[in-house]
Amino acid sequence: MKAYHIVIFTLIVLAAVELVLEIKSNQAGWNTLLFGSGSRTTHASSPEESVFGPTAEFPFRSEILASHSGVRVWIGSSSYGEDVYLPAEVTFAHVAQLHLQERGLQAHMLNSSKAGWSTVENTAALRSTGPEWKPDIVVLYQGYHDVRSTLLASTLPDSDGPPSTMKPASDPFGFARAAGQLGERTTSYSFLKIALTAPLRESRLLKTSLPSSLDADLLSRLDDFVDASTALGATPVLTTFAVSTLPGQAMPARDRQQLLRWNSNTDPEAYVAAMIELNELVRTLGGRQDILVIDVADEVSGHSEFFRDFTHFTPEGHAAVGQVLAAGLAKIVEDAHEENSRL
Amino acid sequence: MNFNSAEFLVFLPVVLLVYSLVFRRESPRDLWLLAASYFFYMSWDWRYAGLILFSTVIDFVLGARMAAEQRASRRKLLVTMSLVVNLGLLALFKYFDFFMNTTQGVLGLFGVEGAQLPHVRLLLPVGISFYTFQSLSYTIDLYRREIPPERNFVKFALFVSFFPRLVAGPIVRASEFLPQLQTTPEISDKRSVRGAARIFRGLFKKIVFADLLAGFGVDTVFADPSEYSSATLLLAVYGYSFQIYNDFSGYSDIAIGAADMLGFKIPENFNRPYLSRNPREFWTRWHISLSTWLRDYLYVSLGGNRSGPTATKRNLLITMVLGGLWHGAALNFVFWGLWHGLLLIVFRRAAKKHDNQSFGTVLWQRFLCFHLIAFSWLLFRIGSLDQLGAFLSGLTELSGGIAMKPLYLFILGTTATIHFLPKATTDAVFATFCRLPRLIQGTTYALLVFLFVGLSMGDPSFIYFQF
Repeated sequence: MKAYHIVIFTLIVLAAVELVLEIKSNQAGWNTLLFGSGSRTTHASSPEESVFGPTAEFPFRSEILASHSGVRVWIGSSSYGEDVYLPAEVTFAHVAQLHLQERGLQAHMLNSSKAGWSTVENTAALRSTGPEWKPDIVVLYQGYHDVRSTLLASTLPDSDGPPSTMKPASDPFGFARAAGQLGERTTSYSFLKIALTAPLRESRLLKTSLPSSLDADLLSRLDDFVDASTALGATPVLTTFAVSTLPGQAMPARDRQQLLRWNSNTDPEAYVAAMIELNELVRTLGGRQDILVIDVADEVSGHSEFFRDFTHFTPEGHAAVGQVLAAGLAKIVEDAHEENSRL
Repeated sequence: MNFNSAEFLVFLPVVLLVYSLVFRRESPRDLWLLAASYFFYMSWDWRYAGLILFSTVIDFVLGARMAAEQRASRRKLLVTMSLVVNLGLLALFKYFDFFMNTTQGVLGLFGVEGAQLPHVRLLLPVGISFYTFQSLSYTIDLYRREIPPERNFVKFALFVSFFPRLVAGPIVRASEFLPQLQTTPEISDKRSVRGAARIFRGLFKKIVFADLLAGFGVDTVFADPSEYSSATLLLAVYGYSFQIYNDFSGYSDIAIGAADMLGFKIPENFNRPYLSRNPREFWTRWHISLSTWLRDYLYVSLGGNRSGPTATKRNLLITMVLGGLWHGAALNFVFWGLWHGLLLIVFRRAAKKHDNQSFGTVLWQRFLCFHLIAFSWLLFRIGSLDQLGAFLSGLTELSGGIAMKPLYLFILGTTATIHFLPKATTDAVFATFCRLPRLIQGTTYALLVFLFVGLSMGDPSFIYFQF
């Protein structure tokens, strides 16, 4: 063992630094590997007495259905719709439900949003669980993840490089996964990713223009979503996607770093341009297929007070989006209610 | 399991911990290292452990038969069998589909459209080119009566699969490694300090220099060369030249360091290759274990320089083209090998006239040689002839304007400066660090681990894993 003192010293220092960071982080309220939950818990699951999902029986992050009456509005979105860092009653889906109820319209939101999902996953979820929950209206609020996955597919560093090597396929002992997960759960890892990795990405040679295939890819995703909605007998509703910065405005450093943390190949200005392009596509598609488009971007984009980063909302942002959605949905919720009453 | 991964950070200390308990006893030591090596390999994909075991058994059995056989014809038959089996597996897994695709393309040129040749579509087992050459060195050396046979199967299996150099070399010959397995390895504080320093030097080269050069500019420019100016393209070629050097020599450093900590010596694989004054010298400084393997087992077997200038040139070309193909089943590697073969032929005479030259001449020779090698890396990295065309067209436009951010230029400048520093200087810095108190070294390594985690932002694979 004496021969390997250098290894032991290194491991001790690593463990000591992690311990110090964990203590500091836990005192600041964050969850850590060794000390568990801090005061800043997420709202990913609901307590037993809560009237909000998700639960085993009700897989949506919205108010649990109390009765079978009312119009069911399915919301397909991502972390910006799910937002586990805020209570479910603050999210725009529930805010929209409250506004509709204030107008005397019995609407129940089925907030199916999940972090990391793009329109592709929203559509798949709609196809798999939609028949059971029978939504009358299906609303899609998507943008960032569609642009990101489309861009990633076209700008992966090795897409034009040498032939790919054998990738770890089986991990038979689960060792790589366990070690990787352990590493990623440390406070040091989270700290370094925010403090070092994200700022460094500004130094990359970022793509300043978008691939020409972007429009076709996005349109095909939207078409598929509309098809899945109509196949269920539901009315599809599209929305434009809001961003914290308008074209021509300088994106705040906080938003740039957060954007580059998750989308490391594309210049933030190119990302904003992509969103403008996506919103135009949505409006065009809506006009062409006579689909209601709620212009969230027009009301919310560029209002920095509504965003806590480049795409996620503050409670005020959720309130604003909820209000825009309710105003846009009121007429078709009313129509759907009358239709249901006749049946 | 990548050397630059969280699992290796757990794996290596566990291996060392158990090893420190068993290394004095021969069988447990060998079995532990063999088990660790197979675990390391199977963490990539357990299915291919059978393949490496198959090669090991075949060469062990053929080696034993060869040692017992006195008849030259039988010995030749046995070594041929080893060559056929080992190179056959390599051909099946690495080259079969490439040759089918190429043949299909050639048939298309002659108007035979729609010919559907069979494809196997197998995943390339990581490290197959490396361990195949290592295993072959055993049977060929045995055939040449240069080494005695290994009677212990576990030791032989460990020679083939020793984890530090299993997936990307250096290619260690049987004559260099098997004798080390016959004695108790010397593990000491001095060796482990030196080994750890070497491992972290390798990780630094890989994560700080190679990966950041790739992530900050090289990958983006190579993905779409038509978008960039000549100056940017040139900087991307320089960047890739240093990326591949740091990537591969970094891997070799980690392999050499890990082996050193276990008490084994693995030969050096790099010696500041961009200081070479001609392509011949380059091949004595770059991937030394492969170039000497190709020289001793291929070039010499083809006749070397013994049959006149024409045959020598032919042998050089064949050796380098096959050396190119060894890297990968793609036409760009063939062109890369061909280019190096031609360089070796053109500079063959120049290589002999290097004594007593002025500083200016030496500088010019190094400048020229670096650019000839850098051009070969362009061939090596490029994905298609169209991409090559776009790159060359952009380079010859002679347009200005640098797209890269200052940090890219800083990293490129730093790694180039370190590369061109006198070896005595870098060795002195290394030795001074190794003399520091262990706690300072351990703290430095811990901080480096944090730095590496913070800096890692892309595909962590080593370039040479695919070969």
